[in-house]
Amino acid sequence: MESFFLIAAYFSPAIFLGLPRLYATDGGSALWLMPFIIFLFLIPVLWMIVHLYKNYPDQSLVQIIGRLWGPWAQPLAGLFFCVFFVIFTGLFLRQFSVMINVSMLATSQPSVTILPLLLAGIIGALQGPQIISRTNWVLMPLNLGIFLIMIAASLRTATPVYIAPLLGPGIDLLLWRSFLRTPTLLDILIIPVLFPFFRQLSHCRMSTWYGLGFVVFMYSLGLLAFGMNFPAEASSDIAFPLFQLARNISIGRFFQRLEVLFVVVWVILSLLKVMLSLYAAAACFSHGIGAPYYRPYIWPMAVLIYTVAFIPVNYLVALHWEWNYLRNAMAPVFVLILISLILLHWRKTKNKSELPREGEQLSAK
Amino acid sequence: MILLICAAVTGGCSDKSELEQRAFVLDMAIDRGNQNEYILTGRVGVPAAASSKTHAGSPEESSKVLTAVGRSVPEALSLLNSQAERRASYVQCRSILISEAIAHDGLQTIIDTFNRYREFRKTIAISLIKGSPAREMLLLDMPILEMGIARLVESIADVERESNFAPYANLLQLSNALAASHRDSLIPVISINPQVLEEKKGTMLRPKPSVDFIESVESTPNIVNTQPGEMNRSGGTPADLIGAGVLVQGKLAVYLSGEESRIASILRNTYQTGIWKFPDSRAPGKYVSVVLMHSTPMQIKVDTSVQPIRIQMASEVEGVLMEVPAYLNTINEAGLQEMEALISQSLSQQALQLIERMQSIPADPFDLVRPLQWRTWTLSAFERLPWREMFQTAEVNVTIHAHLRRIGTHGEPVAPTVTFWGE
Repeated sequence: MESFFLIAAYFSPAIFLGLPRLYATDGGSALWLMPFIIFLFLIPVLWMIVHLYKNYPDQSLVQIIGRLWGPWAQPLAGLFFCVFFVIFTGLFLRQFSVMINVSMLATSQPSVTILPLLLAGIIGALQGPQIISRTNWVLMPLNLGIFLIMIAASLRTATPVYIAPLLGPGIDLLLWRSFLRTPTLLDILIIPVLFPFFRQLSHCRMSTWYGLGFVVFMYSLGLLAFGMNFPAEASSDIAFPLFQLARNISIGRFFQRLEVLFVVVWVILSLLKVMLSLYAAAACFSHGIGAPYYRPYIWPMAVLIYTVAFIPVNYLVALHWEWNYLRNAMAPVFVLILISLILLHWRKTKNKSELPREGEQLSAK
Repeated sequence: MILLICAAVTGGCSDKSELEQRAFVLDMAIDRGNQNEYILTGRVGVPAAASSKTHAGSPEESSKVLTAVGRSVPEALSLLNSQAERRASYVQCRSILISEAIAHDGLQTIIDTFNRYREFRKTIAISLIKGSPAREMLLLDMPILEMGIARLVESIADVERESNFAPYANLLQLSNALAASHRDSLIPVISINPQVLEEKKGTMLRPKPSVDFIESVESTPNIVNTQPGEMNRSGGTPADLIGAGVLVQGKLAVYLSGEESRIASILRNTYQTGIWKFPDSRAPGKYVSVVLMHSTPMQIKVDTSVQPIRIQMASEVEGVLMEVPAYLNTINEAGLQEMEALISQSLSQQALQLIERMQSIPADPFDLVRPLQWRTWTLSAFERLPWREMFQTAEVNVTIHAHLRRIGTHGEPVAPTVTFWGE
C-alpha cells in the first residue's frame, strides 16, 4: 500500500498546477474523460513495466538496459533518464513557484519558493525512497482528506451542465487528443527506477496498475469538479485550475478562503515529488556510471534542477516546454526503450531454451 | 525542519504584509465618465472606529470613501494608493457596484482586471446601480442594522438569495455566463429611491409626516411598484434592493421588476422563499396571500422536432396560507384546491409573460438551452446551434404548480357573524 500511495503522491502535484488547462484545451467539456482514455493507451506500457520487473526484480531500469543492451548502453541510459528527471523537476519547480507567487508571495523571487523546497528535497532524497514513502504514508490521510474536501466543497458552486456536451470535441478528436496527451502520465518512469525497492511482484503490480488507476481516478475527479465550475469555453484560460477551484469555495461566513489549507497539502505533495525526483535523478546517474552509491550525486543534481528551473523566461514558456515539447519528445523514446527491452529479453530467453541441454549433448556423443 | 528554516530565512521581507499598514477596500463602485475615464470609488474600512464603537458607529465612521480617476480600472486602482496613508488592499473586497454606462458597454470592459488580479476573488458580489452614478451609492448608503460594511455586503447578498426580489450574482457566475455559449445572465439592481432620498437630511434620515407620505403615494400612477427606484416607501436605506438587469452577452438589455425577478428565480431554480399575493377571482378586490417555498426544480423539455421548437417547463412550489379573504369559507379540501388552481394559474401566467418578454429581446437568462446542451454530443455542434433564433420563436408552455401544504395557525378567517336581533 505504501508504494501504491507513493506513486499516487508522485503524480498528484501536476494536477494542482497547469495540467488541467491542457486537458481543458484538448477535451473541452469532456476533459474529465481524458485521463481514463490515456490510461487505456498506457495499458501496454504498464504491462511492459510489470513484465520487466517480473524478470529483473532486483535491478533498476538503467541496470536492466545495461544487462540487455550491453555495458555501453548503461551510461547513456543513465544520462538520459537523469536528464529526464532533472529537466522535469526543474520545470515543475518553476511552475510551482509561479503558483505561489500568484497566490501568496506576489513580490518574492521564485528562488524563495524553489530553494527551500529543493533543500528539503535534498534531505529527503539522502534518506532514500523508503523514508520518503513512509513520510508519504503518514501524511496520506491529510493529503487525501483535504483533496476530497476540496472536491466536495466545490460542488456547491458547480453547474453540472458545463460538462455537456459529454463528448467534448467529438469521440474521434477526443481519442486522438488523448493519445497525444499520453505523455502527461510519463511520470510512470519512476516505477522502473524504484524496482529494487519492491519486495515482490504483487507490490510492483499493485503500484503500477492500481496506483496509476488511482491517479487517473483522482485526476478525473479533480477535472470533473473543475469542469463543472467553469464552462468549457473558459476553463482553458484558468491559470491554476484547482487553486481557483479552492478560491471559489465560500460556504457561509466562516468557510471562506480555504485555499491556504490546500496550499499546505500542495507544498507537502510537491516536496515528496521533489524528494523522489532527486533520488531518481541521482540513482539513474550513479547506476549509469556504475557508481556504488547515489548519495554523492544528490547535491549536484539539485544544483542542475535549480538551474533548469530558471531557464524558461516565464510560466507559459515553462508550461509549453514541458507539456508540449519535452514530454512528447521523451515519451516515444521511453516506450521504444521498453519495447526493445522486452524484445531483447524474449530473444535471450528463446536462445536459452533453444540451446541443447548438457545431458542431451553427452548422449548424442 | 529545514523547510521551515529556509522559509523563514530566504523569504526575506519583500512580501511582508502588516495589517496596520494596509487600507482594506471593502467594496467599490465603478463609473464611466463622458470621456471614457473610469471613476473608481473604494470604501476603506477603519478598523479602529469599528472596534471602539462596535455596532454603535455609523458606516461613515467605520469606513471612508476614496475616489480615483484613471483611463483604465487598474490605473484607478493604483491611484487609490495616493489618497490614504496606507497601501490599498483588495483582498477583503466583497462587492463591486457598476454603473449603467458600464453595463451598457458590456461587463467585458472591466471584468478582466477582477478575474486576473490575485487580490480579487470570484466570490465578489456584483450589482448594477440604476439611475445614478455607482459612487453615489457608497456616499449615500445608510444601512438599517448592519454597521460593519463587510457584514452589510454579505447580508445584502443573503437577502437577495432568500427574498428573490433581486438575483444574487458574483464574479464567477457573471464571468462564466459571459464566456459560455448561448447563455445570458441576471445582475441585481440597486437604485436610489427618490422618495427616501428626500427624507435624508445630512447624515440623518427623517421619515416624512404621514399626510405627506400618503399624498405622495397616491399621486403615483402605480401605487405598489416593484420597479427598481420606483417603490413607494419611506424610511430605511435610500437604496432599493430590488429588481434585476438582464445581461445579454454581458451587455445590459432590460430591467426586471422585483416581481419579475422572483418569477425569474423560480425559472432559474434559485428561488427559496417569499410572500406572494394573488387576486382572488371569487372576491373581487380581495387577495389570497401565501408563503411560497421552493419544492421541485424546474423541469425543462425542449422539442426541436417541430418548427417552431416547443419548450415545456414544469415546476412545483409549496405554500403556506397567510391570508384568505373573509366570508369565503375556503379552508376545506375543495377550497384549498380552488386556491391552488388560482395560484398556479397566476404563477404560470406571470412566468409565461416574462419568458415572452425575454423572447422579444431575445435573451435567455433562464438556461433553457440546458436540455439541448445535454443532448448535443459535441461542442462544435452545440456552438453552431442557432439558439437565439430558436428561442425567439419557440412555443413555450409553463406550469408552476402550487401545493398548499399548510393553512397556517388558523382555520376559517375571522369575520363578524351576521345576525339580526329581531330574528
